[in-house]
Amino acid sequence: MASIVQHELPFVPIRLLLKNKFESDITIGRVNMPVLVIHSTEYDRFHPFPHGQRLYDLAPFPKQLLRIRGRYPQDLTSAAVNPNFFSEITTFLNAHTAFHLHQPLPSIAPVIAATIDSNGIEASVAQYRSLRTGNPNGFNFREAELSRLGAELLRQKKTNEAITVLKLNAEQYPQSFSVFDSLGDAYVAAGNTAEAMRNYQQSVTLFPDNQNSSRVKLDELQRKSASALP
Amino acid sequence: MKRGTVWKWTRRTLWSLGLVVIVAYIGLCVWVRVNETRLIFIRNRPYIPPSPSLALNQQRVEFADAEGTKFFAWVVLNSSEDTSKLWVLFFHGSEENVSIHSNDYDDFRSMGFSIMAPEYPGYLDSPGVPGESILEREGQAAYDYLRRIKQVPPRNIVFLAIPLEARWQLI
Repeated sequence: MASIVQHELPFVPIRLLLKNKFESDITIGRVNMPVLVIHSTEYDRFHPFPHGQRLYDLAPFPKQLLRIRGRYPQDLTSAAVNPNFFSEITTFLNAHTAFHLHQPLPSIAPVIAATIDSNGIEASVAQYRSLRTGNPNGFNFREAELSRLGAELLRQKKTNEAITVLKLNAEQYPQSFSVFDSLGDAYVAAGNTAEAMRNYQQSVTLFPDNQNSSRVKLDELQRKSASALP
Repeated sequence: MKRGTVWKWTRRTLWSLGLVVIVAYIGLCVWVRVNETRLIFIRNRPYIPPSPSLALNQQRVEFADAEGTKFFAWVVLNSSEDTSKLWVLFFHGSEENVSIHSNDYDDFRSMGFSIMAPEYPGYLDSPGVPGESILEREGQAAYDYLRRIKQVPPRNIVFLAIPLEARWQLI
């Protein structure tokens, strides 16, 4: 912690000022069990890779450094970004402990992403439906898989593909408020305010709690729509 | 204007500038000190209920440290009857809360683990103020809970932490 803040404020005596130093670079040396350090190699101002590398260097053996992609925190466990995340953890634990862990089911997200790239969005939807019916235990079809893929597509500015994937997810999980929230976000990215509001409203209906972020987004869109009226 | 007068004003200006820099520097140090907790422990993420499709069936368990400070955690049990088998002690990041990682709990459950995910003081409805010292005590108390209450052998506990600098550590 102190080293990150020191990097941001190089002229301030951070180690003297901070009450919460969280000096894991010091404590990691005292760990007496296998250590797996997982860190994204993509640039992140507040979570730079060299700090993860340093932690790995200072850790005792046995140890492993797993380099992953994406931004903290939303991409780290996303199969659309890091398809082997949990299988790498499983392999590490099976190698260094007496555990006999099951390899998790592969996510459907990378399969669909590859088909979008090679054959287009319509083919990928057909593939999803076919696999979901014909091979339901061959892949992980959780709602998070397509939600995260949709987020990744939005990040890549593939808005139409993201909307199609998230609509498919909403069709599969019609009781999930977060699926409709994500779909609302995609419609906002596409500039389709009416559909965005409809999906945020559906999200609020499913989870009326004030903490549902769809409520804030819906209020904001309604305010903008009202102020745009002549 | 006389040379001496110019030098006098130059010196005054330099002293004034130096004073401003010193005051700004001290102000920055005070600001860091005063805002430290708010800057490190970002507690504005909302509660996100797990998707019903996960059937997570998380339980809220309470536990306490040696000083009697109470904490709570989410516990997600593996389908196995024997809860002493394999556990992940899952510590979320400083910009998150215990509800953010439902899908990750589900992944670890599918690998064969049960999960205990402590919530930090000041996050969601957990009372108190977060800090390094109390988080260390909470971590120890959660470990003791697994050892004493759940009868889990040390070799069956995996520690997973998403620390403040997002340095994922799996120990």
